[in-house]
Amino acid sequence: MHLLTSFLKDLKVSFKTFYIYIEIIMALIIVLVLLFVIPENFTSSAKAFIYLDPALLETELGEELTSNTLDEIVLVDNKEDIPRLMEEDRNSVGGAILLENGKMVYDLTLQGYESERFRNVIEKALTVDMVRQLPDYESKVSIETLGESSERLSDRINMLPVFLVINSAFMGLFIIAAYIFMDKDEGTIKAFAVTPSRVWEYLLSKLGIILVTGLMTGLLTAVLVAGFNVHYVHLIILLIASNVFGSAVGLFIASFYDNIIKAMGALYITIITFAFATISYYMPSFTPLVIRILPSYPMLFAFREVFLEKPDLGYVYTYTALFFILAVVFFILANERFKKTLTA
Amino acid sequence: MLSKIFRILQRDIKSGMRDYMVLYIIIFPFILAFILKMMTTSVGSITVNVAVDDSIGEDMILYLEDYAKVETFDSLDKMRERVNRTDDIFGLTMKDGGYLVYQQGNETQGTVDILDLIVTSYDNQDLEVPIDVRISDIDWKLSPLKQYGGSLLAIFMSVLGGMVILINLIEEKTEKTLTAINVSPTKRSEFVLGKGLMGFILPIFHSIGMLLLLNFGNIDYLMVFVTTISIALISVIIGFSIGVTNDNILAGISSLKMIFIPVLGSIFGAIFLSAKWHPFLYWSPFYWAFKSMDAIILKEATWGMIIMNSGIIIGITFIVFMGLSKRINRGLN
Repeated sequence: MHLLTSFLKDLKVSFKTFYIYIEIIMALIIVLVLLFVIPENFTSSAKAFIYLDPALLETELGEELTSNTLDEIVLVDNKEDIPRLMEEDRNSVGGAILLENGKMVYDLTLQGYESERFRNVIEKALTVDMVRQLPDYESKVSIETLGESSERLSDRINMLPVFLVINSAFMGLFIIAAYIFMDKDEGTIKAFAVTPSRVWEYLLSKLGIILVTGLMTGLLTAVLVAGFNVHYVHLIILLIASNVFGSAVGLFIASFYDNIIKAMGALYITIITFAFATISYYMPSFTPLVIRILPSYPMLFAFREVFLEKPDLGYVYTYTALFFILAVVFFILANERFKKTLTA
Repeated sequence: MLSKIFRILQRDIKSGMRDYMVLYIIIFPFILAFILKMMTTSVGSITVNVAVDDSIGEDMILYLEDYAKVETFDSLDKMRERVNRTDDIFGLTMKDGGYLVYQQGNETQGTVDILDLIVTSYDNQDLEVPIDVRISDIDWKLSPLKQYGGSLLAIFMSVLGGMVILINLIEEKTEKTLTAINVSPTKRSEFVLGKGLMGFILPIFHSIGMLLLLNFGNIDYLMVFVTTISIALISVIIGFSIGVTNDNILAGISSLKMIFIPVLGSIFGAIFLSAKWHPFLYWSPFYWAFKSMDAIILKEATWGMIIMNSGIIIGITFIVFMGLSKRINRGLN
């Protein structure tokens, strides 16, 4: 009962401060950026500047190249132009297809920052079509898909998990400490100490405010960007678990400090460290152990699942449960610490 | 006058050290730079990741390592379990005299074809290829990740100084020391300069230190200095205007969060948007700072360009300052 009263009162107060509106505006800006600035799918493939030996124009390859409509392939008339064009676009590669002594030569020019492995792969890739046509060629490779679904999200939807994790799930990390220290500075906590409510009720009520704000902004973003292509029930449960987790960690960290300025350093470092998981989310080939052990890493992938047509619910709920358990643990630890310090 | 200004700066550093805040702010950017440095070396070497079980021989593994990152497992089950994890890694095993590649299905498009190609080539190594392949480069060792990452960090650090002021001012407000300053013999201008100094010293220290750490070679640090100063100027003004008008830490933190939108928006816009859309970013001082920083890192910057871009930033700053000066004044009272 105390908890409910305290929560409702906090909720009323928080709607009077403009913080909650800033969060909503921020969510709307994110939606606008996603819908109007980010294209639904963006290819990041590199440009290739190709020079073709005039003697090869009549061949099959020549015809294929001259009639190509791909943006990535740019035919140039002069071999000497290639380095200059490549200097203007540092993501590009260049190549000349020549005929020397009756033999075809692929003369490839790279930028120079490419790795040895990359060079080796490119070398193989260039010859593969030719090798395939040789009479003695044989391929003994077969491919088997293990996953049940090989569905991929559009690039735009694929960005949603990042915003949901950083802006909605970890909202508490940003802000819950501020709520508590503000009450402390304003003397509200002293007033609270003489009421029959307990510290955990006070903390839980703050957690509730962040949860409401996080759910509001998270759902707003999901509804406006993804529309009906979301499993809302799973999304809401996951949002609750991850948001409560974020707030509990925020509380725990804040419990080591006695004012917000001191706590903010540690909180910001935690947020930025958690945000590093985004790198591996976008580059699944780059997943060092330091990133895999961050809670934000499975969180990003769990959020991605709820946008898939056939989500891997085992994955989503394993981590949902884990975040809940961790949230409870951190909350208990924070409560123990705050009990001693908060009203002192 | 100077001694008073420095005393305010000294006091800020001292109280910041006590709170570890300044310590975090000084050290953290270098940690970020260090991570970027690590990433640019390891990301650059990634082509395909492959997990092999014990059916794959030593020769094949050695061959694969020339093309891909290889992890070995002592059983098929362990290898399949590895493939099923969230990151992009393929499995490779021998089956009925041929090779079987396992994929999860949601890997980055095209990568399975690369692995197919590498494995197939192993068996066809003896075939005489009817073409010659020559590979050379134009000796450009700077990867786009490091190039843009460096500029992004440098600008971020220039903005950070303003944020330190913001936090400092809110602390003064909550602890009611700002009113105390008003009745002390310290002049308003001395106080503002004293507070603002930190917003310039930190960014210069950070951006130059970070660029040195990332080792961009022989770049013009005087140009970095000028660009950093100009972008720090606008950050300091934003920091001041938010800091003095909010006595509530909540509003301060959320404003801080909002500032990241134009900063990141301008930089990513400048990187990813094609040139015809760039005029939409001309209003943003962070866009011009990025243009300068990028050119400096590429060693293409000229003094004319740096002075023009910094002039634009200072012009925008002046307009912003005109709009906010009343607010700042009122807030300081």
